[in-house]
Amino acid sequence: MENLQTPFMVALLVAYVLAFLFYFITFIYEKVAFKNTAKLFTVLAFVLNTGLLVIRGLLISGLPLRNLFEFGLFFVWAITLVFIFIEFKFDLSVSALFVLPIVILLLLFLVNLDVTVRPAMPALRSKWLVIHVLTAVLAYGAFAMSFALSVMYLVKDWLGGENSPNRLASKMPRLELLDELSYKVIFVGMPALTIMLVTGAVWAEYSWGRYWSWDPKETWALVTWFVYSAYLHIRLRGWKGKKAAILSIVGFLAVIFTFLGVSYLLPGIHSYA
Amino acid sequence: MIKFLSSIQLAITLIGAMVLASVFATLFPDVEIFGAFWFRGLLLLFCLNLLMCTVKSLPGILHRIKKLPSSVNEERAKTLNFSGPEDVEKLMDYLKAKGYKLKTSSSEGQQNILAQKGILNLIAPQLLHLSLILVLIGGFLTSFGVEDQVTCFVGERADVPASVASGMVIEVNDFQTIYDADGAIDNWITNLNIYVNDEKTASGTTKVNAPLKHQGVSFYQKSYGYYHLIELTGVQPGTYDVPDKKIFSLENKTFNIGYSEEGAVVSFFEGHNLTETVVLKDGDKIDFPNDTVLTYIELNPFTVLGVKKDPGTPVVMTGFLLMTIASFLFWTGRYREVAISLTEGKASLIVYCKIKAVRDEVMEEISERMKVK
Repeated sequence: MENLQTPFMVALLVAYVLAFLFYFITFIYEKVAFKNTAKLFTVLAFVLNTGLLVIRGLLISGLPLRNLFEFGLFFVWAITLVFIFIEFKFDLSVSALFVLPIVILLLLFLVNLDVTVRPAMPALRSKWLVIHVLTAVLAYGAFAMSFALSVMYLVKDWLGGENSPNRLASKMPRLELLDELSYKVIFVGMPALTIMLVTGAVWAEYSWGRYWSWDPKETWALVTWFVYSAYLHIRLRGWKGKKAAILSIVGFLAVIFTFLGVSYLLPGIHSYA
Repeated sequence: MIKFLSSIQLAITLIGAMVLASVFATLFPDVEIFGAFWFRGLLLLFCLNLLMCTVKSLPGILHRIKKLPSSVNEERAKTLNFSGPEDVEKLMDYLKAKGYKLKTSSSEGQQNILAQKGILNLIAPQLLHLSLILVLIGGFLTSFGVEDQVTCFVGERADVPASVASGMVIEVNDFQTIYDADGAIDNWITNLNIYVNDEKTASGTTKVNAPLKHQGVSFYQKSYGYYHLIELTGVQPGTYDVPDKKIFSLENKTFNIGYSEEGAVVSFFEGHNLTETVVLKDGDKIDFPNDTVLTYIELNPFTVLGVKKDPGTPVVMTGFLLMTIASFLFWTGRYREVAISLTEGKASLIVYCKIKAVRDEVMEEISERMKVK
């Protein structure tokens, strides 16, 4: 079954690229058939992603959440889940042009990782792992979507806003809706990020005897939490739109640095993640 | 001063400062940031800010929770037509079905309805603030805690450092490496007795992810190791306790002894190349040149336990529990309320919610239901 992983990864990548291409063609030609094909490829990619997670889960006899590759797979899965929800509920197919590139880039990174199944170290054999990493996945998926919506906001604003003659701007939802949706998605992701931090700290207390070690991964997760806290608070002061969008983008950059940057540049006790 | 301490501007400034400090600390790990006086000052100010902000907003929240239905200001309200009691019934059923809690009152021919939903969400930010304060207080108390480690061979006793607990001694009964069905290491377990002032007060096991706690002291499985008790006859006779995998030369033969599940593995080398391995059980012998004989007597495992006494941990854990509850409360949906005054065939309606989109949506749904003319 281990040999199935690579073909699944390739099929997954192809499905996401095709989904992106069909969304792009939909943007140009505005044909319902293209849009439906794009949706079909997105759902197919999501099913393949789920299938690969199931295969991985069977190989390790548990939830595949123990290393960078497995977390990355779940991350992509969560982004797609949030995207599918938003796309079907609000008919925001143009958002695919901003979300799917993130997914494809992440997959291109994951394809190069070692997929060999190795036994988990004793510290990772804990019930806290499941809730800690699943909430991280949910939060990061929501923040990726919010990032895409914020980029859309800034692009539309830069192109002239609601009355812009630009084709891309006219295809995008109203600025107010983009801003509101980005806020709502962060509002879902932020409690998940909080639970991720809490469960990680409780687990660390049981495992390492210290609930907080200022390890780079912990610290950057806290930095991410601070940035999104600032986002939620500045909205109370009426800072919406452009300023909020910029902060949302900064928040997602912190997410990416926590996920990848810390793992490669700032080694610590989270060396496996 | 109170206004400044409870302000969102201060909160955002402090958050920004902590972000910058944290980023700097991870990029330059040799510079002490988190233990620095000024960083602790930031945390203290943050704690005060959270407290003042919470205290300031509590009356408003209590007012909303205790709020009673009253006459709606018609100038700010949207007016809907309604034909009679059946329309009122319909509206109230609709609001109930949507999960609103209704309060009603009537006076001078006017009926007032107050429908509220998401009260738990209303208290979530304050609960989160309080939980953060608890965590910060707990963190401060943790700075008065002590942690150390104790190393002990199986079958022997060792003092717990007096800085952690005076008069406390551990006796290690057993140390085991546990393997899963696939042969991979599942855990390391130490079985021990605890003595306080020479009196046995507890016994139990500690393993990774499951520390043992006794009299406020936590015991964590930190590390372990093996020594091998061997006897030599011949050129260098005697009994030796040799560390696991340490390289020795004996009669021109280079070797080490390593622990394995099957027994002690003696590995012979020529230069860096492994030439031969022999598995020894207790009492087994290996012959060396010049009538030298190595007899394997027994494995001598030791365990290393982290020991900690921290008055802050229970406070921090309470904070974490409240933080988790607050997080779930955030997911219960935004607080919203609908205030309605019904009089002489018309309904005056005001929807309150911090999110404009929600306000518009609720107003639209109710208008649709009541068929606004």
